[in-house]
Amino acid sequence: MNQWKSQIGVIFAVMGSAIGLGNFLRFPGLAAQYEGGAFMIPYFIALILLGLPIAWAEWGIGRAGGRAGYNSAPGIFRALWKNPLSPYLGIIGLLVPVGIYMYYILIESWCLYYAWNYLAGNFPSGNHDPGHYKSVFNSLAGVEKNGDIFLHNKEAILFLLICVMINFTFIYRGLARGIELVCKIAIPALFLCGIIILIRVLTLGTPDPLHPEQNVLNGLGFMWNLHTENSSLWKSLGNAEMWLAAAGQIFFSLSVGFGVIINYASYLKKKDDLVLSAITSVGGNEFAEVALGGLITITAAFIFLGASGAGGGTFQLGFITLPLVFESMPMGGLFGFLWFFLLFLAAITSSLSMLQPAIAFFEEGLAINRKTSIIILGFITLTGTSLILFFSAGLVALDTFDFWVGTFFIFVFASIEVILFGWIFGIEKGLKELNEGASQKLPGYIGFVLKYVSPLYLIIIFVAWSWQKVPDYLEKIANDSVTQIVLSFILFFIVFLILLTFQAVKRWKKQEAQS
Amino acid sequence: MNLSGWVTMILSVSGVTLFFAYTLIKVLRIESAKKKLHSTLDETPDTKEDR
Repeated sequence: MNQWKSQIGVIFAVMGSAIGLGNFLRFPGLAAQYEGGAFMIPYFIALILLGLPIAWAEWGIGRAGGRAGYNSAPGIFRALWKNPLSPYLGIIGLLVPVGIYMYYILIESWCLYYAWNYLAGNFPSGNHDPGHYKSVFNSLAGVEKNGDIFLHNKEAILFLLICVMINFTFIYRGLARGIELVCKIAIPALFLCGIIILIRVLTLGTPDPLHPEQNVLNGLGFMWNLHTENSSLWKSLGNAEMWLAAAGQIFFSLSVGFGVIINYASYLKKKDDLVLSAITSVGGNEFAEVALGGLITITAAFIFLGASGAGGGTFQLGFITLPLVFESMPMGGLFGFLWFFLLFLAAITSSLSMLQPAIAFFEEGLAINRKTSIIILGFITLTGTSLILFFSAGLVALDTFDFWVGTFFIFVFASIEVILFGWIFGIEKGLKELNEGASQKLPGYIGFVLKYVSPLYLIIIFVAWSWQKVPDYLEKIANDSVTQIVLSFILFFIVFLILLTFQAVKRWKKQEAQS
Repeated sequence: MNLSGWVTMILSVSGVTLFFAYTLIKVLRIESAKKKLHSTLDETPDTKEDR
């Protein structure tokens, strides 16, 4: 019995690392944006052909790189791929986690703000009007005007600073072990809370008699129907951007193509089970995302806001619609607090892991000690977060970061990893690495998928997306000054990482010459 | 919700639930799971050294 208890604890700790804001906020937002049910087709194809196989590849590359003496993506790439350019490709494995952290912590602070307001009794407000929660959210996120938060919403800044302090205290004092223990309670509690909220959403019926069409069945239909009034299934499937977004969501929520798994895997030993570690994390993550995230948020959004409101932005949907569900629940205040607080905890487990790849790079590439690395990283991430916070109108800066760093560069890094694993490191060697210590060996066809199917699939999506959408993006960049500022910042950060990697390579060469 | 919606929802939700159950059973069957399973919440060696 004790052994089972301890094993279930391990499962929840592994799941806790994968479950985050992507499951309950980003996934429903994307599904609504891309016609619900039709989105699930590229989503599941991406899970089977990209998500799980590339997760295994990332674990394998990481452990092999760690054995060669490196823990950061530039170092690992250089050790496994004898090409002068390889460490520079590894830079994306630093850009992605740090770049995502810059906006992820902002959303984390929104969760904490909502949890606090439920605890303080400010929510539920007794106001069943969706407009009320829209205005609460718009004020919190500064949606109306750039710079609004700095002038008119000190509370938003306070909650952000609290989150920054919590994250950096945990990482500075090395308290990851404590978070792992918290996860063993927080993740099952989050699941239980999610199931109770789901039951309430499914029993909402038709809350507004003036809008009889806004009922549970139509809400579920909005999420799951393969065709809608606006688009047929085939028209939706012809949209290359949806395929890119679906692959991006799989990568985002599984933390694949982030540069995080490769870093943590580099510390593992031969006896460790990489295959099962990846499957456990993916299994829990998908259940949370599809079975809970997919059924709750969009259905509730449709019931309270109608079709136009349910198709809102990527992240904000949960902050407007779920409070309306809590308004209609007995003990809504308690559930509201639990939901947003547990979501906040789940977010912390993800944001903490986003900082480790850059810390490892500073340590091994530039010989900077851990604590100094954390301080430097704190300054860099705070600069990026401040930029997103200032250019808050319409959440354009956040969405630009989320598209370029949280989708595009993840996609590029995952492509590089799969090519490295399948064509440079070698499938035979790669599968041998993964099967070392595994309780269940990977079947041979996974090698075929990783060598041929995954790269081909990634290339086709990328070419189709470029063909259909690049002109639109170029036009947007040319016409929108906030997009230009954000992209300039990302570019500046890339140049900064290139210069650091140049120094790191020089140092590694010197070390090799000495030894 | 039309028929295609019901089919998509049932397949999606039952698919991920079965997959989740499979991973739970897999882990529960391995005695040394605690030592062999890892995640991005692991304490890294540099953290231990630093403390």
